[in-house]
Amino acid sequence: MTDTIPKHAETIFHMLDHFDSLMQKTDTSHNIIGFSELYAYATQGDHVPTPALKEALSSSLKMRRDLKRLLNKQSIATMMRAAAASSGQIERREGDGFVITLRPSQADKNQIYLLIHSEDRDDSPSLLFVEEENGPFHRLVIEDFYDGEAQILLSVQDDIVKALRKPKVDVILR
Amino acid sequence: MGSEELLLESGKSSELSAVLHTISESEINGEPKFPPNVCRELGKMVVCRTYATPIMELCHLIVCAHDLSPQKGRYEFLFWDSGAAHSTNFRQYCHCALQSYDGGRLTIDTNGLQIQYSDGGFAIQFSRMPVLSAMMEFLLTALGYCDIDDIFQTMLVGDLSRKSVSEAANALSRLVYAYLREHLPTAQSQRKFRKILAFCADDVDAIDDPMILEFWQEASVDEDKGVDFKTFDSVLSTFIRAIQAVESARSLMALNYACTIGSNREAGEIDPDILSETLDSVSETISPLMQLSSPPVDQVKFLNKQETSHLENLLGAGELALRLPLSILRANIFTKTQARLTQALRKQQGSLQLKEIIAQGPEETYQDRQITYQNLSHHIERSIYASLHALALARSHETISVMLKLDPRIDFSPLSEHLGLDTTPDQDNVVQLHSRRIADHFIELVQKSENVGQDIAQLMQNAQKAYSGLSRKGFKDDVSQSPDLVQAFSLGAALLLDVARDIEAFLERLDQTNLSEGNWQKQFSHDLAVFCGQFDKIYARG
Repeated sequence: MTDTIPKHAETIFHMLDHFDSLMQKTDTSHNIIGFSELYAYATQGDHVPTPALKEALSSSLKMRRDLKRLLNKQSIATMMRAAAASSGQIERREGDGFVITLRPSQADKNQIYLLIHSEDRDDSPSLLFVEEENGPFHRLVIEDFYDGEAQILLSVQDDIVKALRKPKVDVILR
Repeated sequence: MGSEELLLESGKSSELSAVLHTISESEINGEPKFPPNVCRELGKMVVCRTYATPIMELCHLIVCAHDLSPQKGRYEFLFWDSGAAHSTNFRQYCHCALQSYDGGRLTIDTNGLQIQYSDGGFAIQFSRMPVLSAMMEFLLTALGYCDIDDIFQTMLVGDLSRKSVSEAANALSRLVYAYLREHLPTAQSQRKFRKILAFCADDVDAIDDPMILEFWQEASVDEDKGVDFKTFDSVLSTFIRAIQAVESARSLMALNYACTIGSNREAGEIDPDILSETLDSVSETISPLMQLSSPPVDQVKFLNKQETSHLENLLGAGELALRLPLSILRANIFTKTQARLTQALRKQQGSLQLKEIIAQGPEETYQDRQITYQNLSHHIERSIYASLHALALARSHETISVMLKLDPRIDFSPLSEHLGLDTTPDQDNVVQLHSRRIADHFIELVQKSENVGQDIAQLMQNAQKAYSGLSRKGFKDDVSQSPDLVQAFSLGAALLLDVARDIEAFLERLDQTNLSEGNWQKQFSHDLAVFCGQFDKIYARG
């Protein structure tokens, strides 16, 4: 650089150039999930997760770790995975004063009731999360938890039903 | 550095861009969580690396959030359960939370929170909380919740003191430093700067409209993959930044800032605070637009999105808009066509479709754009008058200040006998006004010419007419019942006056511009051929 251009000009240019590129509203190939979105997913029943968030939760270990930390902090009840010796499908789980049961519908064999029952707790959970071993999170909104229980009709093919039947999953109510 | 490494570097840098973009797009209850001026402030902290002090403040705020949380230790509530990141929301949250607070560490006053530690105190103003909240969002989004939470938990479970909070802040700053070292690389930017300097033979004072066009014509078809000079607006922006960088560096030298310039001066290092001031200084003309769309001014819709977008190039160039008027117009007019071409390429459209876009040309001419600026100028003037009326309705003493700004030479002496003004002119022949005193009686007086004279009465009649003609957000609300709205009108009017001055100066400059083609119509036809030919070379050949 010649004497006519002060040495610090380049440093100032870097700063201005970086600032412009950071402030630019352009399409980006990076699917960044803001923490606000993750927080809303973890706490708000009316939050509709974006495809990018779902993808990140299935592919990013860091994102799942962050969600798990958030959920652990705010959970009402946690039902840890069944003992290693357990095999076959799980239809009933309990922990922290709550019981979760899967009961087939009498009227339609393709449907199943998910029953959430509070044994000795006053809290009303509004979200149920299921974390598969090394796999994705599943989330279910509990719309009517009334008088200590909720009854939710689901398809037997629903991912969350399949996940709940697996022994090696953690279930979190919040 | 080779092209591949430059591309890799560009990817890292765009990840950081995406983080900031995500933050600016965050919503809460259907509205943006972070106002534009807060996002801009965050970007400034990142690029100038002035994050150490805000991170320190943030750590103290985490202590407050932890103490105020309705559930033990849930510092997140203050940030994500308090609504959009506005100081009023933080004030409200803190006031509510303090009602059930039984600790002894925190106190509150009208401006903010105070924390008392065993080894000293710390104060955080509510007005700082939005930007600290944005910093928090940045940390958690860029670095991950678990890593940051680990540092906060270590801080919160120990014996809290100013010292332990400082240690946590230092640990966070180290993480940010490492992240930015990777994500704010300089090689690509260095290459851009040096290319511009080489083109102008190190003489930035010689940069003019023809030089920028000539550079674009050469560089846009250059195969150098490391630096993208395809779009005319990016070329213009780089030239503007190069001139601003050199001029700012000269000013620093002239002001003898050498003693405060960073330790490695030979390598061009600059103290982060001076960098930050430099950014503020070159952003001075664009900053009113940011403030107009941020709280508290955004309660009144002075400018809509399209109007704001029409002004971005012009105000972003600052004083250089007057030096490079044709380039500003070229960017305004031809950028949209180029954006459509880029979009079509992304969609992998063929050269026939690209040629169609080129043949369609821009939606407006240079003369159309000048009319747009004139219309904007009129709209802004109307909005200032309408603000004056709104302030008068609210009996705000700011009425006088806006009135004086609109017409500094107005004769206030007719008011004096009613209000007991000191009418002795000072050195500048300006009557000394006791504006608060006037405000109490203002509304009754200003509408009657027998009380205030023809000038003031006319001004206020115009103001009322302008107010009646505007139906945008804020102009029909009951301003007398809302101190926030009064503040919005008062600040908004002052910001609009700055914007209006810049538009007027630019329009005047356009009138005086010597055009190579003789007049605006011929200049547009000439430039249209140049740009279409160049678009064809860049996009539609092969």
